Amino acid sequence: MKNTTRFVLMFSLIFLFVTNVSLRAQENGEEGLAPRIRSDCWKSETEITLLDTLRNAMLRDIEDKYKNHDFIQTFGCAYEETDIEKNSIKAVYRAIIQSIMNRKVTLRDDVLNLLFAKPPRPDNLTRDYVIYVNLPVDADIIAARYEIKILDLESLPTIESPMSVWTRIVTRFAYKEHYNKAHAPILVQSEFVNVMEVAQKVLRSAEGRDFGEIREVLRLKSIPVSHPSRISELIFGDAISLFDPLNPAKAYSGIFLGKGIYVCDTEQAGVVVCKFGEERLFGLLIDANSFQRTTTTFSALNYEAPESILECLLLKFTSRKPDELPPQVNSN
Amino acid sequence: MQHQRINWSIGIVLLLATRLFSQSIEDKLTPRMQAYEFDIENTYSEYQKLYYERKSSEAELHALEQIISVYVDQILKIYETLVLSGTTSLYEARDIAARSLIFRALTHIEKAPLNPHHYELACYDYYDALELYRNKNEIPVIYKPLPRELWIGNRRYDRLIDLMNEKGKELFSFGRVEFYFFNFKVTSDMNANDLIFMRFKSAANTFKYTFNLAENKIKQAFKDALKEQENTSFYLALPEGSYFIRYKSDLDPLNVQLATIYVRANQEQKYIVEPISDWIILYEEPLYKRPDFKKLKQNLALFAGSNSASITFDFMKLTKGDKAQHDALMKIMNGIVKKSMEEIELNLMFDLNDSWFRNKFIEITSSIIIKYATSSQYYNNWSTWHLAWEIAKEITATVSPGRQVSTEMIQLVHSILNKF
Repeated sequence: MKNTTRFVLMFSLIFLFVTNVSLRAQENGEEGLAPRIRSDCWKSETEITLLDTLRNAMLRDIEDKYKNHDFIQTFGCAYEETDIEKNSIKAVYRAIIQSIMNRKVTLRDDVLNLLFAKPPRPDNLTRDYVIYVNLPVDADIIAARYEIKILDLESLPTIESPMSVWTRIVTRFAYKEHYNKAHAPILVQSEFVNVMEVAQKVLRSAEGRDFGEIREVLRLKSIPVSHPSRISELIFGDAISLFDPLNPAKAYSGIFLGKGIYVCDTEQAGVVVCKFGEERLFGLLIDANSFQRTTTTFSALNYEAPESILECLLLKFTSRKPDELPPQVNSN
Repeated sequence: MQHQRINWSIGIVLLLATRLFSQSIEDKLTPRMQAYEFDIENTYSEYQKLYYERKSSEAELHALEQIISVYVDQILKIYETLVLSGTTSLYEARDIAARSLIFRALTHIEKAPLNPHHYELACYDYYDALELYRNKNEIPVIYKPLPRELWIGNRRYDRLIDLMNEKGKELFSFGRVEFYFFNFKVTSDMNANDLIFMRFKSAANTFKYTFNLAENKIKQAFKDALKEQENTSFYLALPEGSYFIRYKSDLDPLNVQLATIYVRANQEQKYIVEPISDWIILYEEPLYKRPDFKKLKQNLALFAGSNSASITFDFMKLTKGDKAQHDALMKIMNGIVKKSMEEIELNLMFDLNDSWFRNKFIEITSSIIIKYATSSQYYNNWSTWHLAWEIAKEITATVSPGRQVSTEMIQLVHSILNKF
């Protein structure tokens, strides 16, 4: 009896201990970590990407009633702002700019102010607009009336942002004579989506720790097109250089991704995503003289990487970084 | 025409009167600052005697601390008045204000072994003193000779940096971290009072240092940033280590990685605070640049007018000890040093008009500057002035041993360091 009691008591204690440990684990959020760090930053159980949404939407052909009346179709999207209204205006603006680029004309009116000017939005954004563009005819520039119709404007939560917006518009010259004088339009639906695809390749390669792929996509060996002089001028895709102060001849490449976050190829930890300041954990420094831009792809369209993806990448690489700075050593 | 002439005359008279008025404010207030500073030095010496020799009561020591603090506050008020009055020559007033803050810092340091919180208080005064020289092309007061020699115990001090190295070296275990709020817009309900600031890593010897003032300063800064929605900044004095900011209700421990900072001893760092996704990110602004010897070569051509076209060098080879590269760089540096010396009059124990001594001095100076510029110490300094001080000390010890480091030597080295 005594032995049985002892056995029951010991079993109960072990049972309580094990239960307590697993409860503590839950309290400390170890199970709650799973939603925070996705195994794939671009996949979620509840959302899709804005890029996939656009790819699907862009399969849609322009309706005949517009095609037969010289309209062309373009798309726009936005996710950068924390406000649906601002994202809506940005998306529409991008679609209009794409249409202008396709027609090889330039804007005469301040379209952005026009879009901001008339409340309420975003519902009221979905209507027809008329603007004026500069149409080159022979050696002259003439003012041509340009019609814009917004056919689709949808906001939805995506992996990039809970307030992503995409839009589909159709545009044409108001007068046939201007249409006849203009160049034949190029039918690019959205250059911004192309840029998003390139950027996604870079971000996926960073996540997959493939710096070689990043080098290829961004053509890092090309002659730089500009040299940003401070971090406020850096944009996605800009190259930075890191070095070891104990051995300054050695340089390591890095690519700026946004919000102080970059991916670099280090000797100590391989390819790792860090924020500015964390290179110190590996005994490295960023050379503030080394910033270079090797492509205008991202600057031309003001591309910014989605903050949710940047956050996911940075958190994913936490375990690859030391917790504290190495001891300071002076080499002289 | 006559009307215009009268207007011009009135204008000139008013301008002269304004200038006289400005000068008289400075003439009135600077002697008052000097008097307060003299009192601070005497009170500090008295404090030292009471503390160490007579081991007097706490009440007496506290009274002397209060006196020093009152004088320091008076000096700072006068300094602020002079700044607001638009006085252009603030050199002496700035030096007095900075020295008074450092004396107050030293008073805190005396008490710190019994209560380590005083190291933290000392740091804020010390950093405020150095901050007075931000964006000014003047040597910070700690590297300048004191207006009067200072006797503490049986030791004489000529410079505050020597006093800091002797009595204040614990402060060098702290770092100054500036936080700059950028594009700070928060769209959800954020209560700044729910922020927690924690240290999670620190070397064993720095664990004793406190950072008690930090959390409240952070909370206040967030409240101001949320209210103003403008770019704002503040700074903290923190012991070397790793810290993070987190939200009380947030159980996710990984989130803290976004808001982690790594503080380095005896260095200044600037962290930018920005919103990201559903939290905030703190990242450091990279301030260091590898010495740009190409720029140095261009500066030689512009500055010294010499044709250095035949000199080519490669920084990578140089750091690997390539002799030809080193000789090429020495040639450039000699040119820069020689030209810089024309603007600053140095007083050494030998005659710089003698060409042999002059060339030797130039070579030694160039060699020491290159040694620092190609070492990690170039990057582990509080500021360029501190690096200039270290280099000037070594040059003086080599060319004029036993002599004080002159402010001209510090200025010479600083002007050369700014050329790359």
